[in-house]
Amino acid sequence: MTPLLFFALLLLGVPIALTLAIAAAALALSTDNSVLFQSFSLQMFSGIENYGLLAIPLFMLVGEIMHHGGITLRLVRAVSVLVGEVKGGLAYVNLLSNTAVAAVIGSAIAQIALMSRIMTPEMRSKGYRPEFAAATTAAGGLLSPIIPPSMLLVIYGVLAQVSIADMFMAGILPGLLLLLGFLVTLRVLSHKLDLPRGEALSRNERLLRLRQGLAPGLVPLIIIGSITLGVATPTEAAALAAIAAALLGRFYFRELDTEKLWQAFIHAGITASIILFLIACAGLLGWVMLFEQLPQQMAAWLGTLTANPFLFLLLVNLSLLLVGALLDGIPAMIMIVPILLPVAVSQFGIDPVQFGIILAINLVLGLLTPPVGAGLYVAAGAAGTQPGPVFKALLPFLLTAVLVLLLLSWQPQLITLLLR
Amino acid sequence: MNRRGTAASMHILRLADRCCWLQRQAIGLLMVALVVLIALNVLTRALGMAIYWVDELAVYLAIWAALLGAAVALRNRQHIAVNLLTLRLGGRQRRRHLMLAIDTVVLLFSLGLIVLCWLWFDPLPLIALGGDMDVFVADNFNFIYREPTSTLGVRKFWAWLIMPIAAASMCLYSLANLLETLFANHPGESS
Repeated sequence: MTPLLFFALLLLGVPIALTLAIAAAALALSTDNSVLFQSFSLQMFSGIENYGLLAIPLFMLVGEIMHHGGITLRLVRAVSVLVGEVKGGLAYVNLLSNTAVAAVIGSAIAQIALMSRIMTPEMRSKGYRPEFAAATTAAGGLLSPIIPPSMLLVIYGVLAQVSIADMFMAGILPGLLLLLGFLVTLRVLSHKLDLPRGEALSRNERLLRLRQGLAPGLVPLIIIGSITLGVATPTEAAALAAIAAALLGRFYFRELDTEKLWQAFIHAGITASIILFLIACAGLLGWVMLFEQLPQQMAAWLGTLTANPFLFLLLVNLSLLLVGALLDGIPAMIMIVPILLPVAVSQFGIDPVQFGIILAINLVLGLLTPPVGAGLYVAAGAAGTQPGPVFKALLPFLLTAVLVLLLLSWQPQLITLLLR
Repeated sequence: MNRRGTAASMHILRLADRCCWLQRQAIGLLMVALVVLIALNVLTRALGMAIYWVDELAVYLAIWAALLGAAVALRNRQHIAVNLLTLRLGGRQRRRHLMLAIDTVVLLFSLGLIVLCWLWFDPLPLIALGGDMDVFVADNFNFIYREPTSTLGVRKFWAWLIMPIAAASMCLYSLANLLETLFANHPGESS
């Protein structure tokens, strides 16, 4: 009864958070656990009573301020110096600047929305086809939730009770691997599709762009540096980066007035609360399910399917690609981790950090696959084209990402290499 | 709908807009405080004089911002939902019916949340007892008014107070949304 109600409300279009909470209430009612109702609101509150989750509003804020302060644009221009007059030059610039921006922004959708505004028009004006411009930008956005900071990894760390700093460190290598894969793919495509050449910059122009990129470079440096050196927790790194970005935008570049800054705080707060409320409601459902020992039953059933960790991961990958095609990454992560993680760790001996990275890559891929690929719609909308052609242009990149995913599932110790 | 009904719903919509504006400012303030507190943490620790209560306060501020934000996002229809059906459904009338159904579910949820908060805060027996906390706790085994915070030195009741505030706001906003869909000539996005 409860699953039926859950899927009916979900497909009807009721917000996912509310659907989860209503399902929790229905489950409690149908299993004669209505005594739980007295603690429902308390449980909702405790679901987000967690220091690690503070990173979410703070990183939202960093992205918001960076954008309005004109910092992201300068970062992108500085990166463009790295690429010369090669075939598909601007497409390389797109991927590389996405990597730099991914070190500041923690959400794929936010990054695709932002970079679509910057890179897609630029690529179109240089003669790229709109669907290819959109596809490159969307592929670059895939790096955002893998390269630290990342909302998905923060949420995973909280759910799995793994150090968020560890998750961030573990994301670096797979993120770079993904980038490498994309660059190779682009190299092949640039000859096949005969992409336009990159612009030749004069020496002075190069120096100017690099110099203007120095100050914006501070923000990702603060985030990655303070976390990897262990000076600050990810939450603290986010607060410091937000302050640095606000000061840069307000006093150095002077593109940020007080009103814009204030709106950035409000906007970041509301965007973050959508995610936090989702976590609170999912926590509620998980809590009721625990009383019914549903996760244990699920685990026992999964354990009967295979005993090989690699096969198990393949199975997980396959089902997550399906889940990811229907649900957005963060809600999917919140729903899946409590069920799959205990099985992965206790029955297959998989490292929780490695499992988290594999989950994250998987769910991000779902953002770009129809029918519910929010990232795909955002990228296509910005390029003024349809999701269909963009998806087609994206396929080589998605294939590369799947190959990286398979490699990591096969040799998961690659993920935790930097942690040892 | 008669004229009096329309006037009443205008009042509700206006009230919702005012509340929304107020809560947006509150969210901004809470976010500023959050950044300041966390940065303060780094600073005081570097100076070797860490303040022990900052973390807990920061977490409560974030929860307040999150629950207020969740209510405001309800009004703005910003919550993440599967929009497969909304995208597929053709025809303005059909889409409007779908919106009505969704808005009704959201309103029911908000009312349910109020009931749950009522169960938890259980105000009637406390009032009947004239606020006598000892008897209330002994009678009901409900420690909501007694539980202390870990480091802040105040009762946790004050942090928990956001739950009924958020629930009431959600009721107001979902009612406003429902009325808007009901009376709108152009169903779809609201501001």
